Amino acid sequence: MAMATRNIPLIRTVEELEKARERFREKYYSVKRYISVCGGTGCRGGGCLAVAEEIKNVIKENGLENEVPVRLTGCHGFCERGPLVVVYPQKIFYQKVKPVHARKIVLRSTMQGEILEELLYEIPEERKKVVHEEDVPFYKHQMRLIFGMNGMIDPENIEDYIALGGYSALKKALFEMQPEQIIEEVKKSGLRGRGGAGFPTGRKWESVRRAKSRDGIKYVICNADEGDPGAFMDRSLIEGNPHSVLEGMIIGAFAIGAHQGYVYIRREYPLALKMITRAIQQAREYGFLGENILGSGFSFDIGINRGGGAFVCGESSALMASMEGKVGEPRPKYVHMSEKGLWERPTCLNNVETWANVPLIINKGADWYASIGTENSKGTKIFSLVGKVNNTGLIEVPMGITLRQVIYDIGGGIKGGRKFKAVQTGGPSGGVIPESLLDLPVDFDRLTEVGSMMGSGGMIVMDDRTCMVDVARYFVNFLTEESCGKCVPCREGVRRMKEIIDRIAEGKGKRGDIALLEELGSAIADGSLCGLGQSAPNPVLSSIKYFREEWEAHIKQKKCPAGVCKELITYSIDPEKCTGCMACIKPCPEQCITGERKKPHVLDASKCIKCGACFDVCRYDAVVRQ
Amino acid sequence: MATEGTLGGGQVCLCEKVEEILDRYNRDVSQLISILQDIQEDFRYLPKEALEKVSEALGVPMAQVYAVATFFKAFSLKPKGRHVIQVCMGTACHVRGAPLLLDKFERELGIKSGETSADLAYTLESVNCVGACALGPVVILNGELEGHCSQAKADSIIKKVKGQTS
Amino acid sequence: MEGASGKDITIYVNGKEVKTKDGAILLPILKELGIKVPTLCYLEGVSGAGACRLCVVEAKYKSWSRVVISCLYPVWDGVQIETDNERVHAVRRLVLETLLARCPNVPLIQRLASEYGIKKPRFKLENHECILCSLCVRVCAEVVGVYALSMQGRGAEKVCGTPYLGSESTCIGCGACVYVCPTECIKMEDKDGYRTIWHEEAGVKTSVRRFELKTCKACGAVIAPKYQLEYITKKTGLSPDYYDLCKTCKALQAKGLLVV
Repeated sequence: MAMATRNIPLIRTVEELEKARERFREKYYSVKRYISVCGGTGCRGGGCLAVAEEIKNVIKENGLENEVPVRLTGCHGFCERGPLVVVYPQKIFYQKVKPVHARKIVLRSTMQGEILEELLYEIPEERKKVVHEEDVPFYKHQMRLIFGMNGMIDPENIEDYIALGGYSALKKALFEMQPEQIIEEVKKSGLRGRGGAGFPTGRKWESVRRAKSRDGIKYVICNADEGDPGAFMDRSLIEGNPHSVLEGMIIGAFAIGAHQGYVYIRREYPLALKMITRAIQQAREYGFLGENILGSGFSFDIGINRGGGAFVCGESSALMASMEGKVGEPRPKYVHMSEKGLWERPTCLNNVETWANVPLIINKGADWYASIGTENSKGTKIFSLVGKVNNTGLIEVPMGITLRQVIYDIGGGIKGGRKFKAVQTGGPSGGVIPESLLDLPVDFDRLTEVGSMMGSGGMIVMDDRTCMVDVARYFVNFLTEESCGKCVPCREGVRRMKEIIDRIAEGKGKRGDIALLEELGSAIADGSLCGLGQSAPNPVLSSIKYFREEWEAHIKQKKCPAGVCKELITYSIDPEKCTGCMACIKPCPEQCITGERKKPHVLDASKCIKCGACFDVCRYDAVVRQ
Repeated sequence: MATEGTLGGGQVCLCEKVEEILDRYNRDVSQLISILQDIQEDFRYLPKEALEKVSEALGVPMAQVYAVATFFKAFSLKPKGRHVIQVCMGTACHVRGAPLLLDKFERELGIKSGETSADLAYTLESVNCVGACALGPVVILNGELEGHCSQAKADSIIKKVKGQTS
Repeated sequence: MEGASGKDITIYVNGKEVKTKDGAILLPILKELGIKVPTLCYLEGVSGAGACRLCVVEAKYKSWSRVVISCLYPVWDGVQIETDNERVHAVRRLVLETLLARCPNVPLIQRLASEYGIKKPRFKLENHECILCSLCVRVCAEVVGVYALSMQGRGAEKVCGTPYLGSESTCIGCGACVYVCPTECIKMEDKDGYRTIWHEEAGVKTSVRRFELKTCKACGAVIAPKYQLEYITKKTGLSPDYYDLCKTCKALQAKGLLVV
């Protein structure tokens, strides 16, 4: 573990905190103009670092370092449109920014207030350009209580966080509240775990507080092993606002009576690991972690553990086993982790987003928090809206918003104008939701009622070109690989489900297969040791429930209506759409396509290996898969 | 086809490196995964001697260290290639064509997912969602993310690992 | 659930009232009642794994119900247990049918499966003998204290054995794993002064360990592997020549009827 560069914390009392806050606020607001460049993993993949570099160069060249700070922030959420740059104080929202735009962004837009039309977001149907971030439809319908700060702070600078009010909830908790009061407040708020299961957080805290430890030691853990494919909310929270998570953990530890905490973070998130490491370091330097925090008498520190690449380690008992140097196998939880968790001591494990909600609840009060959301699902939830939707990215919405609002008002509808087919929520533990249920409010219980679940927040939108058998196949394949292998129902049952679905997808399905899948699914759900196995049948059973005809088409007619399952489809070229551009001829690895310029091409299906290269490259939709 | 690797540089060098890594984590058994990951990064796999050293230093039975080394996807008991191509198999990437992309890599690199070329030049593997879903399909080459990986982009990656680019 | 208090409670098993203590484990209670519950990975005296899921029962209370494993379930006041309803049997059948598909030639699995009406699995047959119950691992680690074996890999690729499935391990050749293995896929052979222990599946041998056997200085009877005896004498502080004589000859020597 890295040592703090200062052994004496910078801030030792509440008075010092408020003085420092004033200083940092002044500094933050002294410069009205600043440029916020999204530095989330998504935008980095899109080249935002080069953009930030160029912006800094232009600023330096023109001697503007003291006038225009540049903040490389965490994820802004609108990943589809990255790299994103927001010019403050007007909050002019620029999207798809390239390094070549840096000069005008600095000199014309930031310094002179000019609005660069060509970089603005344009609402597709209305052909209208939007200037301010909050007017972009993607953001307009969101309620960014947790995520909103991402664009305004430099995650590597704790002073930004403090300037904007950070660690004030901690101050209130340590000096104006008793531990039991804090727990009551969290209970009253109705906060439920954001990692997937939705267990009432306050109740969990209460049971850990009440539990007896053999030597008085208790732990708090932040589960940052976000393993659901398609979900990256936790990653972006840690990358963009790590201190909000730390603050929540410190408050929770104080309420529970723990003096040691851990962040367990998956290895596939190197940037998030860097940010949380730095944040912990800075928190120690400034006095929010360590001995006698702010002079309260409460001591607490946080260590970091990396995952080794196992989805099952997102399960609390498996996570703790791997933290003890063992394989990540879960154990039966008849005795809860709150009684006997890490090293057999009472442990409170919560998800990243759950911890990040805590400072908000303490600052604004449980009543305010409970006024948002539905009766049993309070507050907001961050979702990753991905797949065949126009506006992919991270969104934060109040519980109770409908799926239709999310997909159409925020998501901008289906990409390419195609038809909506289903939305998958809850990752490998969840299920597909069809069009008929689009007006379902997003809420823990409502989603479970229809055969899916909230899960960690992944929302995968699917169109008519997505095969529902293939989706089920994808998930059982994933679960077969990720199953720890300890218990028979999951290890043997899930892979036998895969065996059957593989057969169906390859055109070898037989009568009774669907009934067999349903029979297996029910017993696997009942018999499995942990949540992975218990929820493994969900993607399959929900797909069968809502898209039975598609399954039957695969089994009875040996057809894949969506044109996906390789063994059941043939590639061909539609002579009416083909313009004879010859773009598909070279990429074909088997040279199945012949044709002359401006004449419709012909595909020899007997040689075709269905690799999809021609489909990928054709701009006229002339390659047909059915 | 995958091959057994040899450890160059001698045993002394390995011992020193492993000791350094153990110290880096204060010989804390709860940091076993991080310790093994650092060894994996340095040697491109987990040599037997390294596992034995870790077992001895941490007081953890070799059978347990070996179980951990084989349980997690991060670890490899056989050396990986100089180039590592990882195709993201997240759901969003899947619906955007990741499986066909993986097929292409397997076909043109002559190895299956999870394998390393005989000359240890490259390793192909699938990886769980890296959280860059808006950029799908995502391919990671030696830790660098390549978003919107089309078949054409895949071609240039293949050329690069085969040492065919300038 | 808060910590078990150990105080007197009443539970219901198949409708019958049973008095017991809060937090008591269910399986021993069921055994005492004479109820037959199948198990594969359970062994008294060794920590429970909860892996085979064969000992499942259904626990109910008002509108709540849950399928639980009796070998590790701590009972509480008022809980109603049903040991043989359709839901419970559906899970047991899943376990047995899939295990039979995995290990079609193992007599124990064939017998258990046929007790539940399963003769031919509806899945592709494989040729394993190990059911991955981890009894050998737990006995070796907890009872013998040598921890020579582990479950390796993940999911269906899981295998059981020594590191690298090779002959280097801390195994002392005691044979405890052979005794506890329910499917008898761990084999032991004492022949020509050597003991060999190995894991065998479909004719393939792995984790092979070979030990020179110690024989009695007086009568030549086989005592145990030399390595095992050295381990024991070192650990317990007995003198290295403690096992030079077999039990019988030692007794005779003690009575003064034997001179070595």
